[in-house]
Amino acid sequence: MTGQARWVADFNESFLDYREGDVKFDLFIAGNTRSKGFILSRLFSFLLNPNYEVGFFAISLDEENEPNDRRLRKWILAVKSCMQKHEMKWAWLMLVGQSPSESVKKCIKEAQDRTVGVAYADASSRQVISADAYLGRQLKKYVKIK
Amino acid sequence: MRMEQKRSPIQLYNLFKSFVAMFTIQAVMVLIMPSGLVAPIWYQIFAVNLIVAGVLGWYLYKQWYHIVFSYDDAGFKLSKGKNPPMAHQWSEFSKVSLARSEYNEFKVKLYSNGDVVEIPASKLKLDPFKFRLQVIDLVTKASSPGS
Repeated sequence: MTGQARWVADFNESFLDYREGDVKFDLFIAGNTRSKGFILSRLFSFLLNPNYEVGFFAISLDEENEPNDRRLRKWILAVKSCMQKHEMKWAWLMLVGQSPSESVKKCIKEAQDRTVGVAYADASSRQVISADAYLGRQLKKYVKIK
Repeated sequence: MRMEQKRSPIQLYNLFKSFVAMFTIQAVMVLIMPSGLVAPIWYQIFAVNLIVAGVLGWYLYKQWYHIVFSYDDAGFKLSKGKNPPMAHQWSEFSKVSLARSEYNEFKVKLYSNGDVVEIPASKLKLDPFKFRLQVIDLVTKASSPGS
């Protein structure tokens, strides 16, 4: 899974199998929206980019943890709890699975949260289904599956 | 039980920095001396400066920058320069992450109840991605009830 070489944030710390309560994220990466670099990049970033801590969480899905409303709510709450600890302004939650059912697609699209963008990466069809909220749509825009 | 493994590679950049610092101090001392005194033995002074900068630079590097890291299944020891070594057990930690600094240097960070201990993987010339997996494995094994 790769992006389109579009700068989103400077992600500089990654955790594997990160536990938040009884939720386990396969991947959690933390970063900041202010980029580093040489003098001009720093100045540009200082003047134009907000200084926000941000995060990206990923869960690999199987038959046992297929998303439903209750489970998705639990995952989003775990993301929010982690965001609070790391003083993050927003985060993305990416679910990676295969051939989601219609109910799963509906559940993802209806995930309305202003600070957590949710998307489902379907590895079989190489499609990304996102929540209708702004952050979810942004995540869909950035991520392409190859 | 894994044998104790030790890493203490020379950090060439820091060694060079120490050498340059020592050479610069001597060069400034030579520059403020009367030129009539220095000019006839210019090459000899330059050679002595290089040798002294090498010796003092090495000493400074060992005092300030040299990192020694040793670890086994139970825990690890990390020392920098002449500071007392820091020793920890893997079982003290609950979370492991891999962090990149703004100078593109990787560190493996170990978290325990709000405290963070960093192992400078890049400076130790370890593959940070493989080393992180190894540390996760050691922390998991050390924290498991049977260990």
